[in-house]
Amino acid sequence: MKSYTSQQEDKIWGLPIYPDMYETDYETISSFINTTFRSFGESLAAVINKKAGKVIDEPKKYIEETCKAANIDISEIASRNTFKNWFSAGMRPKKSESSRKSMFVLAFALGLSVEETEELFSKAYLDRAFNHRDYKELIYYYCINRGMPYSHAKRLIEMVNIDDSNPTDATVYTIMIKSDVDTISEDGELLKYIENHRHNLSLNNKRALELLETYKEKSYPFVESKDGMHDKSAKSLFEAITGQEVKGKKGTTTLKFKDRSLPDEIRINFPQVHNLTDKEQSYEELRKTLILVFSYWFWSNLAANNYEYIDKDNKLADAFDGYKDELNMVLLEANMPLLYLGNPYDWMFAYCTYTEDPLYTFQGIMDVVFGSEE
Amino acid sequence: MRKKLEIGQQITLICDGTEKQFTIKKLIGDGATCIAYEASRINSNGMTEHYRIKECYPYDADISRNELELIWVDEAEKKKYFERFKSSYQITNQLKYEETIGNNITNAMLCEGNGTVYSVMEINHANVYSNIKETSLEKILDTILVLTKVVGNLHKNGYLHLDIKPDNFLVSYEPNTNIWLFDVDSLTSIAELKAGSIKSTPYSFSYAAPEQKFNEISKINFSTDIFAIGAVLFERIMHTCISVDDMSVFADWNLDNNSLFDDINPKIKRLIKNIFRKTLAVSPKRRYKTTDELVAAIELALKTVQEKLFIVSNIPANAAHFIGRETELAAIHNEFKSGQKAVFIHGFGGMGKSSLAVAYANKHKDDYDTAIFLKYKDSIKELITEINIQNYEGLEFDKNKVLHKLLDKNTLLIIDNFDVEIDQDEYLDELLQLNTNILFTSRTDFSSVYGEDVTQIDISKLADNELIKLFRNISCDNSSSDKDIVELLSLVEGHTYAVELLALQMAASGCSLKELYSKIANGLDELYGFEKVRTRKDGRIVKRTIPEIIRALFNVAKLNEERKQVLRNLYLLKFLYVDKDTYRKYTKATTTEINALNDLTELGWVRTTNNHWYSLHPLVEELVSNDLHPSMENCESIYNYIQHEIRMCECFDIYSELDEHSYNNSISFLCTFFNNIDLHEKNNRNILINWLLQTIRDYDDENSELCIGRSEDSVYTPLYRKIELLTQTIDLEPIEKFNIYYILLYSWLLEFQITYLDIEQQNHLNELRENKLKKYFNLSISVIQQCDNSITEELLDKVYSSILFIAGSMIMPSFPKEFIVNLYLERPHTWQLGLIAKNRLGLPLSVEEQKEIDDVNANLPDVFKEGYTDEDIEAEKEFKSAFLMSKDKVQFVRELSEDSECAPVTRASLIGDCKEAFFGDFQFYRWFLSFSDEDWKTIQDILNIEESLLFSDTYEQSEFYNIHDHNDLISQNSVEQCVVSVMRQQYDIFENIINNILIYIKIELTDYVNADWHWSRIIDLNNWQRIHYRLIRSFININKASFILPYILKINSGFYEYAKLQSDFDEKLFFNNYKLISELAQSAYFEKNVPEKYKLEYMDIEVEYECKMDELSEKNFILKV
Repeated sequence: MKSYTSQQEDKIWGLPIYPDMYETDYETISSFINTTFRSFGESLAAVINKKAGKVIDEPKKYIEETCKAANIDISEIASRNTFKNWFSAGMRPKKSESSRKSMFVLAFALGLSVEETEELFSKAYLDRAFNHRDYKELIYYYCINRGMPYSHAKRLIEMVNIDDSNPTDATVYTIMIKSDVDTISEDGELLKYIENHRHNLSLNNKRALELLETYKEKSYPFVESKDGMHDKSAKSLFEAITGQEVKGKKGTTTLKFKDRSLPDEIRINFPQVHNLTDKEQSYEELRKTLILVFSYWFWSNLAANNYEYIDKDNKLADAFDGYKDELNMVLLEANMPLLYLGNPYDWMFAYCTYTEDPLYTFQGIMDVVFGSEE
Repeated sequence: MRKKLEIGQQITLICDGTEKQFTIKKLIGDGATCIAYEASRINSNGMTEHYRIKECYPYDADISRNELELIWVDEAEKKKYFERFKSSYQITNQLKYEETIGNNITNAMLCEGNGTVYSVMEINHANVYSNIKETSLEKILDTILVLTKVVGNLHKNGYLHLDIKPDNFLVSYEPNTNIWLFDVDSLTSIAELKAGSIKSTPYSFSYAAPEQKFNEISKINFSTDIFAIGAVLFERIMHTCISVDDMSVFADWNLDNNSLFDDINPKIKRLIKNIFRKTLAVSPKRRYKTTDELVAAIELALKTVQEKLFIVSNIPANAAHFIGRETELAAIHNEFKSGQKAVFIHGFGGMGKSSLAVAYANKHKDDYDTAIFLKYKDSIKELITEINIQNYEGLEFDKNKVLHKLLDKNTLLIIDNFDVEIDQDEYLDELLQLNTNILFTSRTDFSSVYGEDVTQIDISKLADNELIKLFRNISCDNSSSDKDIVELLSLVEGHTYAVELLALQMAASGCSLKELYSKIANGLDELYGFEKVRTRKDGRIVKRTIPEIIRALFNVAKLNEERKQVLRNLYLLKFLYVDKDTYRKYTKATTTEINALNDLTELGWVRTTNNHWYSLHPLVEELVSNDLHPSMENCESIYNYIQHEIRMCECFDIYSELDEHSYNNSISFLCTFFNNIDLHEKNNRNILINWLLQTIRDYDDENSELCIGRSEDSVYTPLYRKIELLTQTIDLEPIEKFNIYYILLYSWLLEFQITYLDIEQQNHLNELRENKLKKYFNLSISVIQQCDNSITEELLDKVYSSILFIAGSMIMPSFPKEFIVNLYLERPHTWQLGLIAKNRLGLPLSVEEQKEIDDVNANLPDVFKEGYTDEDIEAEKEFKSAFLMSKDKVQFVRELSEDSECAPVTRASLIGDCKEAFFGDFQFYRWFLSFSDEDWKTIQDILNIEESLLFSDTYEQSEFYNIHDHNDLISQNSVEQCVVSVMRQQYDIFENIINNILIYIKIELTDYVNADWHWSRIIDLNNWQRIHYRLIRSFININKASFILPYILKINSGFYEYAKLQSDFDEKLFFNNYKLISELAQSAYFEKNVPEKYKLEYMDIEVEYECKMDELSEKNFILKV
């Protein structure tokens, strides 16, 4: 059976593409996103129903009960209002370290297995489950895999002392972490493993920021300002990418979504001009910005090179393969989750890459969602 | 935390049942399950042997080390790891017996000791590759070639290596390059991979393929090892590990400053990049599929490295301030990419052709193995021999053959300054046969010569923003506004080199933009006194003044006389669109001159727009003006042509041979010519003023029929406005000012011969012309005071004599008498005319003169004996009154015409008085509209009587043509004067009516001064079409059809052109016009005295317009007028 991601990939092919009709195109995309990607509340309810083996009429109440049984403070998952927003207002949890933690606590509360947790993330939270480079998530994985309670996971996390270890330089095994951890059966072993792999489990964004700078620099030659000269300012780059004029001297004005039909997954933390230069930004902002800039660079290069290195007989698919492979390499280097088509934000870029003129398509979407106030 | 063995520690291991002692020399690496060391051992011969030792010591096993001994807590775990360790050893051992690979895998022993197992590999015979530093690309390629072959053999034996890196193989170069793989516990069975039994593979981050990093087992294949080989090659060549950039489909690498590539065939760079691209690609499918493919690529690269003979690139660096030209760069690139073999960059000298060619070569250097820049001198054949072949020691004679082999499609050959005539270099065809890319820069236009695989790209001026940037970059001027800079640069039409020079000049002299502008507004020659600037052109640095540099760029002196004449002609014709036909027409050019024009065009001296219109670049214009001094004297043909055209237009009404088409052409020619003259340029002013003065001189010398008066329809009128404006807006030299005032004065002098039917208008004119005459007289006199003393008298005489001459030439002088008399008294020596004129003007006469006059008068008919006295005027009034009162006016006139007692001329004169009386009281067109049919009949009859009287055998029509030449009147006898006067009157009536109407319409509808003077453009069809129709209908009654027809055609065509521009254009409005024209043509056909050739034309017109009517009728239009 095809994975969820490859199913999404298939759906890209099924979409009609009208390069010159962005209104229509956008409607198609918007409709696709809103019918394919269910609301978080709906998806979460589906996960709960599946776990309970029956239809749960009041999922929030069910969560309360399971938390109580698992001795988990429900506020570690979400506040009363947040639950209301999830189940009634169709809102999604933001992509952040803390909301990922909430999802894991929820998984503990619901007693989910590793597979069920992955489903919670991919179908409801719309992100990759278990970032094995994050030692906390690695501990969650270890504990969930072994049916250990959340309290145990919390205790293990507190025991990790990554600053006081003398790590191994065996840094080449990062992708194997999961399988390695699968073989670990004792807490001490896990803690030792984490200490030894602190380089791989580091969560700082240093490399990601470096890569963002790299792709900004590589993108500037494609940015043409109004006077036809190359312009190396974040504002110009941002405008060149989105096709939107940003007001304020240095692009200080934030673009507002005029069209709110796109899901929160896209709208929340959507990159703004300042994200191109901010050294301090959230993990999700940085990832989205990196994808945005990389995509612009890649698309511009495709156009500039007239798809020179792309298989002409299978142009769009081959371009997409190249895009996905390279972006994943970048994300891998940046220590970030790879391109995930279950995430509407990632999907949108993938979709654009599939079109004849990706940048044009993307800017067409931006035109509709940001469109000028006038 | 694992506790590693320490350097210098000795360990004892049991290998194949024998105890062996090793000394730890170096820690090599720290893997997941093993720790690797370099170790040595003294053999039985006392020789030191070198080994690589791998100790089974998994990092995640519960193991502690006590001294040397590893203590395993979990025996089961120990067993598991021992088995895994031994299994990889077994694979190695198994492969040792394979013929194709066995010799390339190091001997390994499985040893035990220190509580664990060891793999001990002998490395005496070779060095670990990571310890080798090659100094040549050849050696690197040689090593990687062998490595690839070895890995290929591994593949053929069913295994992937999956951990290829410099630390994992040994290399020996003696006697030949050989490689031994060791530490091969990463070897993975392809069959197992396919079976899905492998869940993950070990790898080294810096060399591993992405699919290994992503753990995409299904994608792991031969190309995974190929990636690693590429990564090893990359590290060796680039001295750094691969990054994500290097794996991109868009990856590119700078090999230019890499010393490994010094002094070897530059072709290798392309081949190496290709290998990088096809080994390091992120996607396995973009890599070589098998090691055989990689072997072939490396072998080709190796062969290229070993080639001794190759061409050396010699592209200069980009011009210091090279800017823009993106479109042209892309165009050149596209042409070559699409398979064109040669591209000519064509453009005017100094536009930046060479810089563009160099920029192209630099920008696309990676697309070519070799790029050669050659500056054309005498012949291509000689030029080619200048190409530098590295290591070539053969005979010069054979060099060509070698070159032919070396020049291939990956070579770019730039031939700069190929400014030859098209067929000048016989070797060009042969050169174009070569299988190489050639980029020419040339002022010569080759576009028409070669097709298919040869293209020409024309370069024009840079965009304004680029020019501004260029100017600012060089001049460091950041204070001037863009607008001011553009204005300055427009003086040289944005000529790239001139812009650079001006910027340099500004920087060198420190002058302001404004100062620079005012200096060069009158030509670059004004910069002679300025500082010299240092500049680079065609590779040479020169320090000269700007005019000197420009002269060096375009050497006019070297041209032959025909070519010089072409340049002079084109200079004068610069205000026009001139193609070859019109050039021939205007200049009466001979075949030799046309050939010269063609040559100059090919050579870039002359530009063509759309391959059609000729022009000169402002810089060439400047040189032509300064060095060849074009003028109406040395461009006589053009001068004559212009005069002819003016004559045609000014006298269209009376030149019946001029058809409407020719008339329109002439009008178009003159309008364009005069409207386009930019009088802010001194040279242009000189030409125009001299030409107008020449026209005046011709007029004075009786050589011209032209009257440069101020008729509203005259082609001169707009010119007068232009030059008059100049005196107010530009600081002119006194003599220039004088000439302008003199021309204006003269134009108003000629106005004194104009008479209008409209009394009010005539009064207005009288007042106006008197004021103007006095104004320009005073201005002329005052400016003469500012002129050089030596010419003051001459200029004063010129002014006085002109006024007196014209005043004296008039039959019925209307000049202010007192003014004229005063002029005469002030400078009596300027009077040039005879006594009659002097008498007529009332100038003081001597006694002798008075006597002479009396004698002349005695021979004149009575009417003219005493000129026009008050009594005469009174008598005329009475006569007119009698005519108007008569019951049968036609009969009145008929009787007059038959009065044999009266001289014919007197009769004609009296009939003229009748007509004046008849027409005199009416205003404009309404006058005609109010006529009854009976009135029209009367007029027609009177005119017929008059005509039969005038067009007797005595007076040929040809005489009529001279009526505007007033000078002739002086010399003719008085009788003739009167006849002509009467005839003129008849035509004047018609002409003046027409003109009055047209002027009225113009004034009514638009600001005449600003409008395109061709009236038909400004008439609102809806309002005026019907009026005209009725008007024309009326004209038929009073004039001969042949006179009216050209006007009607003109009016109709004007309307038609105008109507077509309207959104609601409807041809049916023209039906009645067509009908009218057709009728007129028919009438004209039957007129008396019409030459046969005109009859045919009239017939054609009739048929043509009948057809048009038929067409409209067939369309069933409902016609309403």
